[in-house]
Amino acid sequence: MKRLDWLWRRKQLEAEIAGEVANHLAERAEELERRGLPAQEARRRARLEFGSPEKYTEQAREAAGTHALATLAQDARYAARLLRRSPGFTLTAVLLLALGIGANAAIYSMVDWLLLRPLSVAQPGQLSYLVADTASGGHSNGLSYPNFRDIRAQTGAVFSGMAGVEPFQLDGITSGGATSTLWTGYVAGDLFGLLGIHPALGRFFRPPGGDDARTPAELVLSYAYWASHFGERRDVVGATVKVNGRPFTIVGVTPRRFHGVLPVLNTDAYVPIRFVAGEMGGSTDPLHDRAGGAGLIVVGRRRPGVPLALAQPALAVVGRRLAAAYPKQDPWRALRALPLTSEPPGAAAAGASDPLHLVAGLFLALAAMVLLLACVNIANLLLARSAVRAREMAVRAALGAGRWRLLRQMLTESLLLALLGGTAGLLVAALACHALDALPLGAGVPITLSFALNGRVFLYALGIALLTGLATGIVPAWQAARLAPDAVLRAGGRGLTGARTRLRSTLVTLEIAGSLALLIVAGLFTRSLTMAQHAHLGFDPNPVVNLSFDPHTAGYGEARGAAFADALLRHMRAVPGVASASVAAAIPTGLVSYGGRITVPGHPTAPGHSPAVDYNAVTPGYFATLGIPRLRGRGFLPGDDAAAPRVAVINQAMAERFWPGQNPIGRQFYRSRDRRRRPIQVVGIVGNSVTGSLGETPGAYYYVPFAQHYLAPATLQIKLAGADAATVLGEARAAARRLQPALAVYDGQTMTAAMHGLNGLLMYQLGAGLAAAMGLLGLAMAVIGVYGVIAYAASQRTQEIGVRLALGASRASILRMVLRQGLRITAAGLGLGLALAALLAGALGSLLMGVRPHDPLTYAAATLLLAAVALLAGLAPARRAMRQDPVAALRCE
Amino acid sequence: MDRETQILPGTVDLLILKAVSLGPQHGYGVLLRIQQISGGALLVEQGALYPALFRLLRKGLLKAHWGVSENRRKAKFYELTAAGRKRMGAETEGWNRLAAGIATALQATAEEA
Repeated sequence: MKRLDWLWRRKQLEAEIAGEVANHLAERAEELERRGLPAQEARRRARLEFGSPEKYTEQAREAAGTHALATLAQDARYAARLLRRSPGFTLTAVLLLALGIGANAAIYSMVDWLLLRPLSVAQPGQLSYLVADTASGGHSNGLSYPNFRDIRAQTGAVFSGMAGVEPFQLDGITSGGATSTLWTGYVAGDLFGLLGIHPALGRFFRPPGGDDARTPAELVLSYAYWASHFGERRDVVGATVKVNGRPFTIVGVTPRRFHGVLPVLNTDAYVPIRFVAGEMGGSTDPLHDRAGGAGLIVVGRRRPGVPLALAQPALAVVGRRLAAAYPKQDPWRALRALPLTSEPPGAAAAGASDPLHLVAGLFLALAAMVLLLACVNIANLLLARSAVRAREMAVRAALGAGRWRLLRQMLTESLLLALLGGTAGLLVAALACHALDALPLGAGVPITLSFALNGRVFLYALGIALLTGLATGIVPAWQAARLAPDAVLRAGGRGLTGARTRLRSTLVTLEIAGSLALLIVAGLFTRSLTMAQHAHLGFDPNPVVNLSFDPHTAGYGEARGAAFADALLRHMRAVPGVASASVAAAIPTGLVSYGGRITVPGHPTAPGHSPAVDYNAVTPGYFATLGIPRLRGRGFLPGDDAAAPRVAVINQAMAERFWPGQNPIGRQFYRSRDRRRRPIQVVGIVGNSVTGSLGETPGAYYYVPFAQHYLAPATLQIKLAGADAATVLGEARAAARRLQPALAVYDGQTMTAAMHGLNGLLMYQLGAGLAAAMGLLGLAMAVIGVYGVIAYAASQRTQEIGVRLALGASRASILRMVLRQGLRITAAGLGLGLALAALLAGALGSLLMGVRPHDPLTYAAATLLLAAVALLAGLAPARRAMRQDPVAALRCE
Repeated sequence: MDRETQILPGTVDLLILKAVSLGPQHGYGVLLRIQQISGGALLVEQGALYPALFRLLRKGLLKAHWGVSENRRKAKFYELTAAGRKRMGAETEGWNRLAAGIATALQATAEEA
């Protein structure tokens, strides 16, 4: 009621005033009539004498202290009128804000997608991830199935339910005669029931989602996969598809908003844990292997009223009990529960050092800096305007407008601007998101980039727009309100500008500093990308083409899988224009990698601390295909088959690590996973090459013959000698199809293209692209700022310059004088910027590759670039000042 | 109208208070009464009158009610409040002191100085 009251009171007030004015006019007219004027003339005269009733109404309203909302509406109307009247200013400001806010909203929507997406599960506060702290100080978020069962059975007092999923198994799905890849999650326990989600279609697995032989072969599709591969057809429920050659019945589809337990990576479909394939082609049973198969992400729902802190001791007890019972298989120090926020367990446990969080934080900071620069520019524009408007403000103050009222008017204007800018900014953000969405990802990366503007992004944009409005408005508003009206009116709008110019110069100094910091960060990222692109790979990706295949998908075990690979190789080696062909289990910077603990006789380690070394299984010809130089000994030969003694080729780093100063050829090592303890003899040494991700320095690595160590999926790699990549890939696909149509072949691409994936250049490209965009925006802001302040200062000194010219100053000296001011500002800004950049760069050291965070070349180049641009920006107004006609300048007076 | 003197800023309020103290008046009436009691010497600008009335109303020195004027027209009548009467007393005293001072000053001759 109270809120409507002011409206009513205001109406009443206006009615009263109208009545009073009417009365006054009537009385006066009557008096004039009595003095002999004709009635009409008397009324006219009365109105003339009274003047504008509107002015009185305004003053009366002011005096009556109308409701803040009424004033706000009035202020907003006035501000809108003013902005309409100076479209140039408005457009510039809105554009600046749109870029600043747009950049922020775009980065935020990315961060939102990567880190903040809610999991869309019921009561996520009760859910926790389980992680095991390992003896080596790290942590493992994967638990083996037997461990999961034991933990679930022994923590029933605090957890009402516990379920797990072994995510991201690369499988093949055969549907309608075609086989394609499928990223499958293997579900242990009643995962969906535990999460409290309901199927978008059909049903989930019937509990108890089990591991026994009676568990039916059922499959639940993810909503995204259902939409993209089945066109959201409702009749898929009940249909049969083959996964790795085994028929499964599709029973349901996950809800649209559910995107798995782990963010970022997609899961295409879910099947019960019973069907999980053992590593190494089923040589071990993952359902009973306590030590191996440690890949279950385990989620528990705490009983109502049990806080996380209370669940920890219970878990710790169970953890110690298991570690004591199985010291070999469970060498962990403790079991812990982590809150199931939107973060993956890895990120939560690793804390701030997690690269995703670091990148997110960094780019949010960069975007914030761009916005800050935009704010400084707009504050500058507003200051320049308020200098022009000082007279208007003074007149209003003299007419009785309160200081607070003037302040509020200025703030309303900047807020209105900010809201306009925010709206335009969302448009910019939408465009930016679209561009990011279209970013080319390497084939087979199970990621969908879908940066969308959701409610949170809108709120974020609104928040920063309001903040921006306040931040940009407060200084000019304060200045306007502080001015003594009489002084301004006496000075005729001149003479008060010294302090204002100083303030503007300070702002531009800060702007240049921020811009330089942005430029340097952008430069570092760009150099990092260049370094990554030209990193010493240790192998030659050009011209090599890859085609991955997965014998699992046709239900092939080791024997038939190896035979398939062999037949495919034989066929491709005969294709004209093919220099060499080989098969490898892992490709450089690929998503699939293998590693395991080894024991090296004569290289003593503490028990339980045997070193883990990554490896690859390759066919003869691999080193020739990839151009990895052989340094010593031999490569693999066709004779290194299953029947022959086990051999390995090691890289230089491994030789130096385990046999420093010795000849490793002929030496032996053992793999911890090999129960038969067969010795592996080193037969050759090859050069170090990039294996995991591009950024890392190659560590110890070894190769074993594919024939002695079958792995699936695998990748056919072909070195071309004149043949066209597409033709050879087509030939390879056709050959695979002829050999076995139900076997999934995928990721046919050049090795160079394959290196643009997640472990490859993608992150560097993303980083460099985003940083470059921020750097360019920052540069543009600095140009606008420098130009603005020099032009303004020069225009303020028009008369002074006129006098100087009239007194015989040379035009060159005027140019120097005006430019010198710009240079002073620029120099101060550059100094500050270098310090700022050094501070910022320190934080991103781990994200850069091949370039130090304080790389002098980048710093120097960015400084020079900005200095040159600032000089150019200052030159235009300086030349204008120099060219002015002294007579005209003086006549301005 | 040449005899009408512009009113010094700040004295409008006092004149209004005085005019209203002689009996409730509507806006135009206040204007006429000031002219009348000053012997036609003082004329409050019409544009300044109403803001001043409003100010005094807000300060609680005047109160207003709607009534019917002698010309049988609906009009807003202003009258003095207790606070208004007190303020008028104080301001009258202040004004008299000032006027006396100025008058004395203006009568000064060369010898006295």
